[in-house]
Amino acid sequence: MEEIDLRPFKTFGLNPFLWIEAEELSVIQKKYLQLSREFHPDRVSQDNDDAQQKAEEISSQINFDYSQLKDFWKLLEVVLSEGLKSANCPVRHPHQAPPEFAIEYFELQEEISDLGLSSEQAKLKFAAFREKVLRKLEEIEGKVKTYAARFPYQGFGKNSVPWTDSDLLFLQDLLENLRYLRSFLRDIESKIGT
Amino acid sequence: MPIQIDLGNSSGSNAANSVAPKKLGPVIGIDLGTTNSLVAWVNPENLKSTVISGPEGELIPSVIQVNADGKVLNVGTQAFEQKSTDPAHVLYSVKRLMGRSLQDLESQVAQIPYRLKNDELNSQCLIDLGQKTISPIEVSAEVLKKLKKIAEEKIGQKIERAVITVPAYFDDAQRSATKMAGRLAGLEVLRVFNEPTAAALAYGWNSSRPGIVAVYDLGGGTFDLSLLRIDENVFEVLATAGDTQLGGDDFDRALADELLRRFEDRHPDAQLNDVDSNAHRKVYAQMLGAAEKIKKALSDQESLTFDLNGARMQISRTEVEKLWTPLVEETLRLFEAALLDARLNKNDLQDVLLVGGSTRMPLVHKLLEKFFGKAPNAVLNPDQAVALGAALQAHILGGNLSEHLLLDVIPLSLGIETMGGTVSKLIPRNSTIPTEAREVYTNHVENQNSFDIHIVQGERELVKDCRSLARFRLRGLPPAPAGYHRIEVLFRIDVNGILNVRAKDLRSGRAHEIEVKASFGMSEDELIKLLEASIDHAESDFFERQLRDLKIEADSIVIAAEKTLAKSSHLATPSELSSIKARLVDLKNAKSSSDLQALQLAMEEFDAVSRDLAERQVNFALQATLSGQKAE
Repeated sequence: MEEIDLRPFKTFGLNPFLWIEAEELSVIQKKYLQLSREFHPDRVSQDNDDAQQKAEEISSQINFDYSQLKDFWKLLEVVLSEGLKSANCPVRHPHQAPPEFAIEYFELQEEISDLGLSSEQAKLKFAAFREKVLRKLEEIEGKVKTYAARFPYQGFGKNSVPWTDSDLLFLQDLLENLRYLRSFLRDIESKIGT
Repeated sequence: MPIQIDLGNSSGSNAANSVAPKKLGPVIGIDLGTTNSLVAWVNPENLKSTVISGPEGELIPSVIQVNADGKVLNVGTQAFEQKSTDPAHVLYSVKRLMGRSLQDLESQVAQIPYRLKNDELNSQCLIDLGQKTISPIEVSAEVLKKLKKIAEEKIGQKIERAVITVPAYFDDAQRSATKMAGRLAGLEVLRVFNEPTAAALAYGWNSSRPGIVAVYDLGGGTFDLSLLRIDENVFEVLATAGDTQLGGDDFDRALADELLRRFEDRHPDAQLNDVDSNAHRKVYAQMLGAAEKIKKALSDQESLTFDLNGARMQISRTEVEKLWTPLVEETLRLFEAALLDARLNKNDLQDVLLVGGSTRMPLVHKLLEKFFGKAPNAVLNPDQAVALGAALQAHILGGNLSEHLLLDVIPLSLGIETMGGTVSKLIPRNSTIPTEAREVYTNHVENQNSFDIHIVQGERELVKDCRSLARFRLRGLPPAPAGYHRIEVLFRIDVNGILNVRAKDLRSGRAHEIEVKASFGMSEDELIKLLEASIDHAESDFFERQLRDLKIEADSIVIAAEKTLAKSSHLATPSELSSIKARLVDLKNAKSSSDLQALQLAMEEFDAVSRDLAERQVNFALQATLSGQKAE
């Protein structure tokens, strides 16, 4: 397993993880404040432009990386995009939908236009479909979290990543389903005027 | 060799700065308010943050009076006093116009008592004085110059650096405009500092209680709600919400609208329908003046009887609070929005701090107490808190060691325009600054040699609903097959909350040239032109001051000389006497001229001929004293 350079973990000196509990996050928060104190541009002489520039660069990195670490979904995105870059993964179509949904949705659309249903009836049908999509979204989000929990927070250190390429591909699949479902949802909501 | 170009809001290229002389002297903190401004500093003798008071007092109205040619006649209290008599030329509440175009202000045109027009770029509004126009940046610069002068006179040193506060909700355009106003006033703006954070700093500087506070800042023209965690000298902004067009002025306007209605009822023939007419503007200005006074009076009384243009009227606090409640409710809605962003609820708050003169209104206290469940904390002086906090930050940035750490955020999301006029968010709102985002661009088409990036600020999905920040053009891409180039564009928000952009060619590793077209404000050329014009004035101002000081000195020399001639001429030889008298005449003549050099020369020559006599006089006096005689 190749050592992957994942910046958020590197910046904070953390062993790579995907899942973290709230109390553990407070440890990272302390580290964040410590790093901020050291590198914030305010702590550097205002006259020294080079030092200011450097401080701004480092601080920006720290702030950006912290925002990734705090947010489960953001962290997942970072890990996937970095991790799969080096892996030899097959070229994927960016919007691969769960097949059962794509078909059902298009059938629904056709049904509504073919039968010329009044907009009230169409709205009801769409609303029902929306519920289905929301439930499916919840289910898949749950799957992602459960899988991510296999790679919990491990404190400070320099371990290599605990996941494999196939782990990442599996998660990426789920995320793409989520993406597609969310765009469905947006589409439906615009039709029923939510 | 490709060079890096910033958005033009940073203080210049590195090369220039490393050669420029280091600026010394104290750093002042300035609260550049919509209605009033203040200047403060941390006095090195007692290390206390103090507001610097001038002959007008501590609060300097952010008002200037100009003539039709744009020449500044008055700044501050004297200008304020002319508000209702010369509405077209007394410029106030200009903070609301900073970084705004005419389109941004369309809905308020009826309530702004002077004429506005757009500049050539259609990006910033200008105040139309008839023959000339003046920009809000220039007006603000005049107020800043006055504050600078007050500080210099009190402290007795030249001031070249300052921290200037802005509402937390100010966007990039408004912040850049403020920085430019500082430059125009001869100040290096070390930091554009958020007002609620400044107030929190003043509140928490010496306190040790960790906790989350809300700063409710309702000023003359703007409203900010910031949530901060204060813990062991760390001030971390968690979320901020606000409205840069909501403040005490709107309470005045609501009341003025009501007064206008009543006025029109009594004078149906007044024909004030054309809101763009001079008649409307003049009457409205009077209504606003009356509204401001009534608002203040009703803070202490339940009802008021007053005269409006000869008509007797009565108004009660209850009536007026009905007009104002929707405005206060809007602030509470923003309070909720900030809590949501920070994922907090009201119970998590230790305190709600009140900042800004408008928080004196009983209605605000009443509704906030209802909202929050307990009385808001009025421990801070609502007028001074921001300036005091700015002075503390100025003290830190001036090179003084401190354990305090301020972590502020950007209030609005930053995004790029993508296909179909939608916005792709790059940096979300409430991100701690400084922060950055990177995007890698490529040529989609074979041999494409440039591409454009459009940056916007705002929360909406569509570009047209957001505020355009700037358009960048990456040029000079050598011909190549599609997808070959990899140009990384770095979007950096600095500690001022201002955007800087840099591009790098990932293949070569070298910086790539990026052309910037700011969507707003003054171009660098315009600013430089204005700066040079003000430097000319500065020189003549300086010269005038030198002449005046020298004349004062010359006066005392003449008085002393005449006294000496009257009493001690017997101590001088006849030739001495005649040259002294002659040089004295020359000195008197030079004094009444405006020739600085001639005056200096005359003083030197007089000194040369009279020095010996002066010495003798002293020795004579000494001898007399020593021998017990009373010397004259």
